[in-house]
Amino acid sequence: MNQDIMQALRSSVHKVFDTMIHLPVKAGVPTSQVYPATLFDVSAVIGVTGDISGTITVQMKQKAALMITSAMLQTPANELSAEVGDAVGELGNMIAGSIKNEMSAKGMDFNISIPAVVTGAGHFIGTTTNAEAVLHPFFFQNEPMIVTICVKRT
Amino acid sequence: MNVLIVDDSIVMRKIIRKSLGETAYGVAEFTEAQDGMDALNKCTATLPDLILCDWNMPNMNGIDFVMRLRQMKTKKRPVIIMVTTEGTMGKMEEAMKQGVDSYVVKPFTPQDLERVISKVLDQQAKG
Repeated sequence: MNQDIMQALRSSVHKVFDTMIHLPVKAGVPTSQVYPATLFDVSAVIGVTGDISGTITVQMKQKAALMITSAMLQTPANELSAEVGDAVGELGNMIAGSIKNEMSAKGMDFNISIPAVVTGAGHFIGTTTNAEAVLHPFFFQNEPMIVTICVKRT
Repeated sequence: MNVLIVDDSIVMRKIIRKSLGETAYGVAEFTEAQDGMDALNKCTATLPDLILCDWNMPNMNGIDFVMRLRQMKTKKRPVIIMVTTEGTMGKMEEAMKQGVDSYVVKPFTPQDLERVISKVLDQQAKG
C-alpha cells in the first residue's frame, strides 16, 4: 500500500478524534490480513473513485460506537439507534474526506461517496479480490476501531 | 439571525447547532434541511440570513442547491458557508464560483466555525 495513503490515514484519524471526538486514540499495527480477528457491530463504508478506486471502511463494536456518538454529541448514547449509525457514518466520512484532501495536495485525486452504514451484531465486510487491502487498527479507551483501505490504481 | 443548517447527517446538524450556540452570535431561529432539495423548499418559504451547507448529500447536493438558490430572485442575499469534507483547492474554487461566501472543512471546532462566520459577516458589513 502507498505509504503516503497510510500516513494520511493515521493523521486523518488523529485529526478527527482531536477535533470532534476529544478522546485519545492510539494507532496499532496495520496488517494485510483481510479477515479480522474480531467481528464488528457497526460499519461505515465509503466508496472511492478517481486515481484510485475501492472502499474505505470504518468498523467498531457497539460499545465503541456508543462512546463515539456520546462524545460527538456530548450526550449519552445508551443503545444502538439510527443516530449511532449516523455518527459512525459521519466519522467515516470525515476520515475518508481528510485522507482525500491530504492526498490531493500530493497529486492524487479521487472522490468519495456518501457513507453506507451497516449495523448488526458480529458482521463482516468483505473486500474486493482485485484490490490491495490494509486493515489499520486504532484503539480508544481500550476499544478497537478498524479502518480498512481497499483500493487499486486506475 | 436566522440560520439554515443543511446536512444529511442528523448528528452533524446537531453538532453545528451546538457549535453555533457556543459562538458569540445571537441565533434567533434554527431551521434544518436534510438535503439540497429540502433546503431549496425551506428557502422558498422563508429566506434565512445564514446558510451552513454540506456538499455531498442525496437527492440534491450542496453545490447544486447553491446554484439554484443564487439563480432565484430573492429580496436579500443569504450568506452561504459550505461545511464539508470537500477541502481540495479545486472544490473550494468551484464553490466560490457558484456563489458560496466561505468554507469550513470538516472536522472543525466551534472556534473554526465562529472565525469563518465572523470574517464573512464583517466583510458583508463593510459592503
